[in-house]
Amino acid sequence: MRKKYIIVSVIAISLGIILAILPAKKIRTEVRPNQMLMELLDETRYMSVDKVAEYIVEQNRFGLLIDVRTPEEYAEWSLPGAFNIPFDSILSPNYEYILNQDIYTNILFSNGTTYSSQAWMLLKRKGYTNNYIMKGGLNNFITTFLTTQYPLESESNETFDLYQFRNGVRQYFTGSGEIPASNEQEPKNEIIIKKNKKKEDDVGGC
Amino acid sequence: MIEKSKKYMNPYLAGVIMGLIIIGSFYLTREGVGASGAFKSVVVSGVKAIAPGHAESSTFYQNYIKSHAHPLQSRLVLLVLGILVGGFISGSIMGRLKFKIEHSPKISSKTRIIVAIIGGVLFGFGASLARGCTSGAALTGMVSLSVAGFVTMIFIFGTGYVMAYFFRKLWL
Amino acid sequence: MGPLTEFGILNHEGGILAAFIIGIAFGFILEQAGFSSSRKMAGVFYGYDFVVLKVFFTAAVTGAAGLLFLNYFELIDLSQIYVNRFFPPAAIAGGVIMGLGFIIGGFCPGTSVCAAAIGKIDAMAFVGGIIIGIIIFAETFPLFKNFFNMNPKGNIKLTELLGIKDGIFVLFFIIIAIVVFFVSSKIEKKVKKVEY
Repeated sequence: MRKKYIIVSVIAISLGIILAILPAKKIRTEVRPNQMLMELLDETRYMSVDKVAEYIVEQNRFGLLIDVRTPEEYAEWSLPGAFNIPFDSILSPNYEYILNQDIYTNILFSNGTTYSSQAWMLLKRKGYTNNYIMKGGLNNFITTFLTTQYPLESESNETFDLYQFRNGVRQYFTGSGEIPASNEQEPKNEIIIKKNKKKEDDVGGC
Repeated sequence: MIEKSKKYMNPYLAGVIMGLIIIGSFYLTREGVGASGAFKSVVVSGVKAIAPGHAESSTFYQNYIKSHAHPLQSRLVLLVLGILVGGFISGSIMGRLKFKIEHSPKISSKTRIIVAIIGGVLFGFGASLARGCTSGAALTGMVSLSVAGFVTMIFIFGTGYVMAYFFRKLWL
Repeated sequence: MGPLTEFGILNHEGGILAAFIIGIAFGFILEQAGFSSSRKMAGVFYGYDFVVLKVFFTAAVTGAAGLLFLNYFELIDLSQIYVNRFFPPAAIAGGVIMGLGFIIGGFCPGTSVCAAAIGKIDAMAFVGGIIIGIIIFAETFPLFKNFFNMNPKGNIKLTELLGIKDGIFVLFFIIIAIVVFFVSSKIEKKVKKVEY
């Protein structure tokens, strides 16, 4: 009986020594194809500009806008209340507390969707949740709200409601009901409405 | 005693098999085994069914309902149902199926039931607080080498040893 | 390559079915080891039966070593394994309360289910107690919500904290377990047997 346990112990220790000697193997699974494909097919990672505008207008403190463009672009103009995390430092530990949490809804945006999508993908790989991409990016935001067309008489009520909402958002941003004559895609400097960026502090608590 | 030790499996062999089962669980579903989560799932759906208004207003239930699937869909509930089935199979093979209250000769059956309920209440509360019970937090946590697993294990058994003297009448 | 559910090999329903099967195996082995008897379990605290310690430690060591071997042979991606989140105050307080529950009730949630399955009425009472305990927790949750979430350390591994390789830690773990088993069987021989 005793002998049996001694043998088992010796085997166990030898296995342990083997484990201790074996090099630690880091299996690199950069992309798990099946999973990534599923995520990419899933449209829920996008948030429509209307929804984003709703967050801004309502000053919803659970929505955190994250501008992934360069600091220069951010300084020039960004969405009100947006927080700047440049794309190249998206994985920096300094910002982890913002990106890896489950209370706030993070909305990533760039001019188009290229950078925001790439940023989103990196965050997804890290296993972070609650990150979304603003569909169409800033360009889409501008075109949607600053060049809203009055709908045709034949359109449905919903279209009218949407128009009303978008018109409201435009007024919020520009302070006028007039449709700006500008057909420029890039926003002008006049429409800077910077809210105080106290959100940065709010996130830390959790 | 000899007869008794034959009845139950050799503890080390049982431990090795249990370790392999936990590995299997990790291999298949990335998570280990756990029991308390299932109870939580059942409690939350129970409260939701009986008093939906209350479940709506309480932050705990709200958070839980939002983040968890229906109980029968929940992995942990199925796991506990499995434990029930597995225990029954083993008990019936070994001829241990019998309604009985097991207690020290020094205490009555009634006392045993009362202390069992008290123990259960403490365990239910503690497991919720520590985010897992002996199997979920301590055992599985140790297999994945998580700090939480070792700390929880040390405090469960540490408290057990410290308090053992005061409750010796219940067992000896 | 595992974990299968993480690599899309096993879908959601498959994962649930797998959990059921694992549960059966787990319940079976708990019962086989004698965890369906509260007096046998309580023995670990009084030195007359160390079965809990033996099974528990052997399982933990086997599991930890096995995962490393699987990882080495590229059968499992350790980075995908769930590591429990660590909140020191909640983990310690919860552990202390569970320890009390253990010494008073003689079961833990998993073993109580297993014991209830073979007809132990005290185990059924224990299960009822667990449900009451969770309801109390849920109802009083706002009171200690902050305590519950205090000082989060994330999904941290002991080897990361100590800064040593997993394999070396497991070697120490094995040696410690063997020493503990040796000592416990010595104690077991000295302590007066309790019939149950």
